Amino acid sequence: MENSDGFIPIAAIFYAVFHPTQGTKIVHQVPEGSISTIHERANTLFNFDTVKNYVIPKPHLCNKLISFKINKFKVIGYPVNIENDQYSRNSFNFNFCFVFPYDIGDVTPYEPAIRRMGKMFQVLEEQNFMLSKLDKDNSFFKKSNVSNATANTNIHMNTPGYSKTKRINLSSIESLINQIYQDLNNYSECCIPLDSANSVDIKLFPILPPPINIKAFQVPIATVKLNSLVDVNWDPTMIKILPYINGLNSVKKISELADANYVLTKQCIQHLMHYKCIEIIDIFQFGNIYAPTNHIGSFLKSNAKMAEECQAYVITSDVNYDTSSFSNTPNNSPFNTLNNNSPYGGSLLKRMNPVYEHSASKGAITVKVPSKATLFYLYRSLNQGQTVKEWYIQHRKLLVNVDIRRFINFGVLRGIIYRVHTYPILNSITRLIENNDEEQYAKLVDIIRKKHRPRKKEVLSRPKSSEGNLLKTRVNEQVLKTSQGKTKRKVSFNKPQKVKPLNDIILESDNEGDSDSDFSDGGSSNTSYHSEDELDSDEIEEERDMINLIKMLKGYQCFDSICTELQKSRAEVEADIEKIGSYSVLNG
Amino acid sequence: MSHSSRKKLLLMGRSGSGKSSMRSIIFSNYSAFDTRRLGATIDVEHSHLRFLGNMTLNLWDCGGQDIFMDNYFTNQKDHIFKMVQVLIHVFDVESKSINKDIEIFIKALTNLQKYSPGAKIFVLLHKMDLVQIDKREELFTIMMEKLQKISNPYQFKLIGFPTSIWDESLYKAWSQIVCSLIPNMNLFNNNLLKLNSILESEEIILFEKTTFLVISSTASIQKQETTSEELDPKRFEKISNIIKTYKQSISKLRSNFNNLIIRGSNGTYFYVDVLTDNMFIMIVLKDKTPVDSNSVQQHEELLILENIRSARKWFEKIESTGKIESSANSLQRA
Repeated sequence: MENSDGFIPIAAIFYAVFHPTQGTKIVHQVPEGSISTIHERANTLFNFDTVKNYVIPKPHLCNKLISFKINKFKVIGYPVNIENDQYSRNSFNFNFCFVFPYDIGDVTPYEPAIRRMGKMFQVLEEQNFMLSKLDKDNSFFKKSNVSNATANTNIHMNTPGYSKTKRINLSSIESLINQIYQDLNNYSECCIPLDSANSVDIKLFPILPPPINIKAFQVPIATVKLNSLVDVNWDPTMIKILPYINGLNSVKKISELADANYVLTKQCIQHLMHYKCIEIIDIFQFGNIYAPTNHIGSFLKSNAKMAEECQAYVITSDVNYDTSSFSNTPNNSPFNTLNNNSPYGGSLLKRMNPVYEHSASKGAITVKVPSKATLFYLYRSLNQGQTVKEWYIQHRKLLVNVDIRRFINFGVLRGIIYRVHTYPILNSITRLIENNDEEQYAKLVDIIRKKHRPRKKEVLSRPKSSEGNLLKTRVNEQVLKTSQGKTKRKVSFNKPQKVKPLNDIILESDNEGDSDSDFSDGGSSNTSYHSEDELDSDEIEEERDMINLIKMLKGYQCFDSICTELQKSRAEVEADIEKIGSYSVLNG
Repeated sequence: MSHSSRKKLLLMGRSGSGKSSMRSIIFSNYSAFDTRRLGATIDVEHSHLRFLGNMTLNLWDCGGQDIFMDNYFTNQKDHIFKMVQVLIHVFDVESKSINKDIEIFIKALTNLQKYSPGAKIFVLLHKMDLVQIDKREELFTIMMEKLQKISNPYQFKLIGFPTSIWDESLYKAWSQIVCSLIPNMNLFNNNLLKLNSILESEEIILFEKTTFLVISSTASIQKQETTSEELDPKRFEKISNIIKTYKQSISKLRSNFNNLIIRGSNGTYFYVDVLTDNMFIMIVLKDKTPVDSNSVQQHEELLILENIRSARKWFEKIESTGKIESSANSLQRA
């Protein structure tokens, strides 16, 4: 039903006025007869009588954009009420209404255009009664004033330069709305001159939602050949990071590899996402857990089109086993030159994908394409209780020629499987949060610190206790900061695609991660701290990591997020958490 | 007649006949001149007016454009014509299409008979100021005869008024319309007569506070007693008009109208004072024995005001009994 540019087509346009004796009436409409004005008739969109009071509403609702639903249609109009004592009822009301099918989609691109058109005709009517003059009986004017109104136009005619500004008089509203209707539906834009100075110019623009907040641990994957889009005006950071967007690197990693500021990198990637050049997946690890969604059925629906695409995408063999193929997305052609620039591509893959080394060493020559049913079975067999590694071991026979990373990415991007995120929950902290006990939490942080302190104390001389306090106050500040967002924070067990930026704490910790790195690199008070404690810098780092870890545990972050933040492997993080206290792992 | 304190009044008539103008003058303190600024009424304009404290007038000002009218008589007919106490139908005497006016009137009567057969019908022949003075009376009687004949089959008794926003005739019509809705009218009348005999005044008139419509007057009660002197039969409405304008100019000075004493040159005194929360009283006194001393006069004025004050509690009582009565009635009905 959408037109070529993806806009909802206009079902009808009508022009209505408030006639001083007849009341609200439609003067013109396109297509003719689409809105019934008398009684219920077949094949009309709706009966005008039921909505007339919203087409020309009482004055306090006028001069605003008004939209309402009637039957299966949405009507958007900008009713205008002009007060002027030349009119027979002291005011003139009109409205250009646009009718759209209701259920199809978003009509917001039309709204500013409709508002602008209403305002323009309001001005034209105020200036020279452009609309009210069109009535042949002059019924909109007071009888005594009819001559006045015409006299006014005569004055215009005598003004110098009139011939230059001579108006192409608006001959008929009917042809105007007809042209708007035709042009907008066919070309999504129209330029209709009314007179030498005024014209109805409308161009529809799609309204994209604002980009979601991307997390450091998320992985962008290109859906178009980004390299082909680059031009000289592109942002330098954007050009710097492009080679590293390969479906493997997380946002954080990209910023490190490209040596770009993390916040700028994140913004660049959000921009790419806004224009649908990339999509977001998660870090592929063999420890990940995936499970089918309720859309799994669409894999085989409509002639198994998706299954076919999947076959083409996941197939692997020695023939096309080269690094470039792994950076491609499901929507893309198999060869993307992009990754050739990546110095890390090959080595990374080998590290992450032992399967390939394994299969490569085997040296399979004949490539057997896995059947659609097999692929479906494989997707279905993913489940909450199994990591990819375990799953692979179980199904390795079926997975001979399948690129597992591509297999998983395809499933995630098409929404037939989802990532089951794991959340470490530290029992002691959870209890504190439940009891709203900030003091206890601060104590816990203190305890952590003290664990590392005793040895340090021997090294530290007396005056340094004040420095210790400095650190303490800073930590408390962080505690305060996180506690502010607490009311909004909640554990989310949704599909991971939907987890998104729900938790302020993640964003906050994203930013704090940066400020913390500043903390260790610069800052006058800290440099002194560092210089004095050089011996202990490892200790300090560990302590800081621990405090950050607690902070993140308090914010219910998933393992991916914590690992990225601390730049440690999951095993290391688990070991760290164990040091603090007993914990449990939650899948959601 | 229903004793419910909510009264639904329908204000009908074709577009441009002056419905909204008269509503604005009576209930919104517009001057006749101000009504020029009014726009057309779109659909129905509802206004809820407190009248005499315990009575609410739900005035439905129905826009008279053809498309609205068609709707009132078809889709909206039960909504519009149910529970109506009073229909006020406005005719424009200058109208060019009398037949169309009458057609609508008939439709209104048909629906009214179906949905609210007990309703009272008032017909206002409006814009009388546009007719020559000597022809007004004649035109009015002809029109009323014709309309009564039309409404006979529907068993409605019409009460008609010639009105114009430019004189007091509008106040007269609306006073009568509103008085017909006051349940304990007789109590007011009786007490007013008693007060009159005590004060030995020429005349006492009661006005509603916000609209300044005449509720009751001694002269109108004692119709049988013909007064010796020639008094202007339109005097009440004129007073309403005058006081209202006076009140308005006072409110521009940001002070409230409380009481007013006028000493006439021929020994007549006018006292206008607050009687209850909802009413004003006007007393006209005539000096039987002319006295010149100012102090005596001052004394007398205070006495009259004192008298009004003591009469106040009696009238407040009537108002409150009216309230109790109506609430008791509504209880019984529930």
